[in-house]
Amino acid sequence: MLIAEGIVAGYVPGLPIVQGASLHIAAGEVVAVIGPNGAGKSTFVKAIAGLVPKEAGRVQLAGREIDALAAHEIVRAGVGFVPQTGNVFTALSIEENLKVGGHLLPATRRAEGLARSYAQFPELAGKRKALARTLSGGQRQMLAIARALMTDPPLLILDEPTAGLAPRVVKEVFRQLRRLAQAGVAVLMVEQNARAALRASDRGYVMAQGRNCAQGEAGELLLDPGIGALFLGGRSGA
Amino acid sequence: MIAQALADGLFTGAIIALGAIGVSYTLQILRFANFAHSELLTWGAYLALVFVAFAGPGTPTGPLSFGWQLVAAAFLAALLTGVLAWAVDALVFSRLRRQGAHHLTMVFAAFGAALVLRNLVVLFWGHESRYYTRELQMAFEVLPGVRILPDQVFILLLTLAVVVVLYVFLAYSRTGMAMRAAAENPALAQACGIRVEAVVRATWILSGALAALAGVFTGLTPQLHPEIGFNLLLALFAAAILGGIGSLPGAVVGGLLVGLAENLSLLVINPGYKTAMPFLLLLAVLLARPQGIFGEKR
Repeated sequence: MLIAEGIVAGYVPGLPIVQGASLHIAAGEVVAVIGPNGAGKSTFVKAIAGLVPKEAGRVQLAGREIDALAAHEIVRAGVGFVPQTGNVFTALSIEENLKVGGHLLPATRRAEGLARSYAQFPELAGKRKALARTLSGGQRQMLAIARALMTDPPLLILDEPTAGLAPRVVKEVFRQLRRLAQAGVAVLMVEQNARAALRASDRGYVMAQGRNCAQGEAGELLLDPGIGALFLGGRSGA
Repeated sequence: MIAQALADGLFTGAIIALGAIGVSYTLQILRFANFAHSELLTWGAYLALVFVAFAGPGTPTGPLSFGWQLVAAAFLAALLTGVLAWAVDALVFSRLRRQGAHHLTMVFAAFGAALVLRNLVVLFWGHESRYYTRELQMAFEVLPGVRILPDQVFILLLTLAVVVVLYVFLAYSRTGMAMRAAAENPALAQACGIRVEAVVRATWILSGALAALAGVFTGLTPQLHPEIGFNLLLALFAAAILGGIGSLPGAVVGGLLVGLAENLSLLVINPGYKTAMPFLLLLAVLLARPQGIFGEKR
């Protein structure tokens, strides 16, 4: 589905935050990118989505090179992105948020997308006209995911989808992501909440200082004592 | 007296509102104070004058001092001024944006652009006052002691129609929704597949067009001169901030309040201080509700 190789990216030219990171993900897979604060995880996935300029590296989506495309073209190519902060338009209603998510679609497909979103997230269906600013953190995250799914993308990238959410809501978000993967979507997420994220994932990548430092099956990473001590807080609970 | 001041205030306010909508949106979407905006009013007014020079203002229709030709000229001028606003952005502001210029740099660039635009008007059309039409109009008495010109009523109604169309466009059209989305959160808009640069372009064209209409309406009552836009500059900013940045109803209400404040103040203070009124109002709002009447807290 997606192959990203040797990505070098950052906000200031010549001062890359991501220094040659790589990953791949297949359809129907949930993959977590974890690592300490400042490891460049978010910058890495933002660079894949075209939201941070890349200095080097190649990104291939379903066999097509997308690294030279602008952000809106990458959305068109089939990448949905859910940012960490400011993930909904607070001054717009739920329905308008979803419509903006389907900005690129012709009217009929946009209407289909709306119907699909409401079927998948019934909680949103009851509040179509409500402004997004009136939603709780969990509801906002659901709206943000539904918005990114409007274009029916084969790849969904989420930047810290559970940050600041109550534990019960975190479970619900991960459950939704698993359900999407079962439907064939490739789900790539960056998570601070490493242990919970790995439990919900098939595979994981561990990043440090802008580079990959470990990767593998989620279960193996969870049990790896070295990684546990470094990045999972050293505890087996959490 | 009060009723007359209210009527005059409503009329001035409608024109300020048209100009303030553009100021409000450029402040919100482009995040800088575009002091060149007032020159778009002047340019709009003079571009309409060019069309009027060719077609004439038209034979007075009913009680109005002009015919359909002037209205057509106003809309053509709006179109051209929209393109002019976009051209100024392409030549000046978009280059600075790409270089990641500080917003103070943008403000100074706007001052520069304003000087160039205003002096080009002087170069092409000269300093002397110009008129769209020399027809004399009879004011009619709508209420005891309240006299208004038919042209003013027409302008008020046309402004209302423009604002309603704009509201529907922003609320329901795909481009309108994209504009509101990009105004609130450009990064997220980009992640939704919206081309933010295209939204910026649309914003300039729209602001320029509305400014041109405001300019033509100002020029109709009763004359044009190269400072008509500049004289309104501070009132436009006061209205936009008063109403709340990025809010269409805010800009309209802000415009009306500024117009009313200016005219009502004449009842109690020396006319020389009239232009200070919007600032007292602005000061009061900034102290009590810094986000403006319709604005959102950030």
